[in-house]
Amino acid sequence: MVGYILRRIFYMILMLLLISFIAFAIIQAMPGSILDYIHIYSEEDVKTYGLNQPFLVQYGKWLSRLLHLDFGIAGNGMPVSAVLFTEGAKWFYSLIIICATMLFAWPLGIAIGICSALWQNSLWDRIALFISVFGIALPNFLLALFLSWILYRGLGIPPVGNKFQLEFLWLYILVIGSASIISIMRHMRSNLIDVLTTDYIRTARAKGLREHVILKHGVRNAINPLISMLGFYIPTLFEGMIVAAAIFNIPIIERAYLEAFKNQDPYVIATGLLFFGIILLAGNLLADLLLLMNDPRIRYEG
Amino acid sequence: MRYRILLLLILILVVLLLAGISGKTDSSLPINPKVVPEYRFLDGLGYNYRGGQLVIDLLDDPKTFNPLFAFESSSDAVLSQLHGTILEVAPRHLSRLGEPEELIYEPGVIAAFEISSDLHHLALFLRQGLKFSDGHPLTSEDIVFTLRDVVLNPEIKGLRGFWEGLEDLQVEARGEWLVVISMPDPDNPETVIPPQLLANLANQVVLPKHKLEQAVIDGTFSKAWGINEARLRPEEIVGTGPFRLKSYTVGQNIVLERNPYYWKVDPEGWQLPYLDELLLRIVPDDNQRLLRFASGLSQIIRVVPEDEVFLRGELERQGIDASKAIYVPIKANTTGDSAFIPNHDTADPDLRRLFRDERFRRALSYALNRERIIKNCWLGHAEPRCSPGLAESFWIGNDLMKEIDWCRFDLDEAERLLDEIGLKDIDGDGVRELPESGKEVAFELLVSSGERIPICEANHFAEDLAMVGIKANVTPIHFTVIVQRVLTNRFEMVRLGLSGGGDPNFIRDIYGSCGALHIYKPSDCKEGEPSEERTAWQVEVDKIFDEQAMEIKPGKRQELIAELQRILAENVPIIWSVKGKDICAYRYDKIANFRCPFLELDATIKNSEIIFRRD
Repeated sequence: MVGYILRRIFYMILMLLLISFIAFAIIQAMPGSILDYIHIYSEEDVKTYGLNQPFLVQYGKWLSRLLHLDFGIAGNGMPVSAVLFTEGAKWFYSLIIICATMLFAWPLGIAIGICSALWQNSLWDRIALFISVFGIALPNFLLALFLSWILYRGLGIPPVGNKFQLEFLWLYILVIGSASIISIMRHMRSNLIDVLTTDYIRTARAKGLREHVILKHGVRNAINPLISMLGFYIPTLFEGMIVAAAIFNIPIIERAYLEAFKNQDPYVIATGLLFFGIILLAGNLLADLLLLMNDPRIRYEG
Repeated sequence: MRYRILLLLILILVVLLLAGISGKTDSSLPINPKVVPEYRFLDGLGYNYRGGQLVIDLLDDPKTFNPLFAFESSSDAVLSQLHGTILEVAPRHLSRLGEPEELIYEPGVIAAFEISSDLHHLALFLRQGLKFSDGHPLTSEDIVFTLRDVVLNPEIKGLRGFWEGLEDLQVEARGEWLVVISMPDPDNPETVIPPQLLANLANQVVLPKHKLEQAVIDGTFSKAWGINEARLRPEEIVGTGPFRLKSYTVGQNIVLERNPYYWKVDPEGWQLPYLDELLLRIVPDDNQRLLRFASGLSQIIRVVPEDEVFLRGELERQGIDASKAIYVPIKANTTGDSAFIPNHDTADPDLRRLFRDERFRRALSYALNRERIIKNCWLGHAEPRCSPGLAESFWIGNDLMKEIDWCRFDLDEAERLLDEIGLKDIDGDGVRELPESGKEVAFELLVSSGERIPICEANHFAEDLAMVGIKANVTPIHFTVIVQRVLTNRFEMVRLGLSGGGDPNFIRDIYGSCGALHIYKPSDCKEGEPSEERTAWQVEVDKIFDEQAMEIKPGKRQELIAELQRILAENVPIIWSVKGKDICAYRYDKIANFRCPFLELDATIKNSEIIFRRD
């Protein structure tokens, strides 16, 4: 197990090197020299980051600075780490929204999915089906605009203050997590229906096992594919957060990342790409480890 | 006897206590503070309502806190609150539109000024006891530092175009409270203090020597008071404005707090400003700003014309008299322009040749349907513009338009000029090609992505140009990127709003060859004779700028400025488009003493010190 994790981390590092190279190549692909572009760089910056050096030298210097958690200088002269993460405690608010959304979306999606599977084709199932189809068809940016308008009309308070507002956390969760809930719910429902019709469940029933014991075994097996989904779920969550950040003007990492693209701010874009790469790879590793813990039949070999 | 002494002591104590409570003998005030005249307090004095916060939403972050390098309105909006100017335009001479009608000056940060009888010297008498916002005394050394070491220092390249021609002025401190500005050659009766010096001083903030001297010595002044310094050490940004910087969170908000050493008082002697805080929140979207204002989260806003009807409805629904809250000017300001600026120095040699061809620029001007832009983008709230914006007393724009033929919309004339240059649609695809290379006449038109009206204007212009066979690819990008690309000469054409009007000296930075904002032809910064880079009319423009700066006869200066406008309009270096009326709204249910004409681009409030909260 430890060997497996270490190997995965080693592959992750290789993958991150590749991602960092691609990220840096993207910023170099912008027309003109970076020095023409950002006129705020001082001579010291030029020396530190090798801005007047060839591409590979610049990349090498950036990589070596990364090891010191120095991600470069943004177009407004601030350190990239401040622009993307620390200024206004963006990392903290991003973390709150991620955790809250996951705590909300996963249990709710799984619970509704289980109910739909147990009472298949019932009125409850049909309502859940209607909501899920509607939810999938409704883009989250439209939902965000719609909810903003309702809040403004209803309470006279538009949720667009350019600050993290705890009273609107439910709104952020709803917009970011709605698509996830539906997706989790549909997967859970179909997985559980499949599992409940398998031979071992039929045998358990024939032997007279109680329904809740059957359900316990069934749910455990039905949940495995969802754990695999987790790795891909986290990047999807970030997409939703970009939409919510743009519409509600929430000062979080995702909005800073979006602004960096609008500002064509090279080092912030590269660092953002690298950061989201790390999140994706870490999410996949976490999903695999959870799967390992949940299903004793799964064994990883290196 | 002991009782008498005790009684006397108690009496002294009571007097001191009362004096302290009244606040009128505050040691934070200079001994001769400036009294804001009563007629400016439109809703009465607000000393009973002191405190509270005013919230204004800004479109974008400031790019710097260094006044000499603040090239755009988002920086101006903040800096105007942090700094006082040496002189001020007398407020009774501000027009209904909030712009100077007559340029008559009165003391600002200083207590008085006097021009010597031989007209060779200008004496500035300082307010004794005046302090910067950090409590450091402001003395003649600070004025000398600002003028001699910074704005008249040719080594410092910033927004100082209006000081050009005055570099040889002698500035010296005489004691702690007197500064004398002298002409370089006092024996020459021809060289006298030009009245334009007063205009410059009315636009000149006082920089603190104790904070910035080292940066000037080190040659790092242009980097001083940058974004990093403001967010990490806000106490280092020091000025003489009604507010001082309390905190700055980039991309989120700027908190300004009351300057406890402010030098203005109300007619009752109470120190201004009334407000405790000014919260400038960065809200980059038109719609979000509108919703926040409508719900009372911000108190002042510039209104996009198409939102006016919605806002009226929302305010009426809340029981607010919209006709009182929303101000629609009868006519547009004469200062400021919306313009399409071709880069005469663009990298593409074919395009560069075209942009330098006066006939091509005239053809673009003929092709621009200004009335359609006014109707569709501004819903009628704008006026056509074909010359640089100036204060009303100098502006001859409307008369000029009757003479300047290419201000009218005439596609036939535009096509005739393009044919004359030799641009023909050879392959019949609707786009003209260059005769030599066969390359399409196409360019990128940059426009700020954050606002609807500029994008609308750019799209209309592109459609107009398409009708005469020219392809303009409208590229909406973030305003910050536009500023970067324009300052580094990496653009083909850009749509910008040009402010900085008023006294003709202030447009020198845009239209003078060596101005910091002379963006249409940056490589032109050379003195002397016409060359490949410098056309005869540009030389003439520079000459007039020099002459008017030193001209002491108002009539003669007026003639020079009229000539300047004529030359610029005739040579159409940029395609002036329209000037929109600055529709503004404020929450009169929440704030008092504010009137909309006093709102400039974004949130440059001219009278923030007298505003108070009603609630």
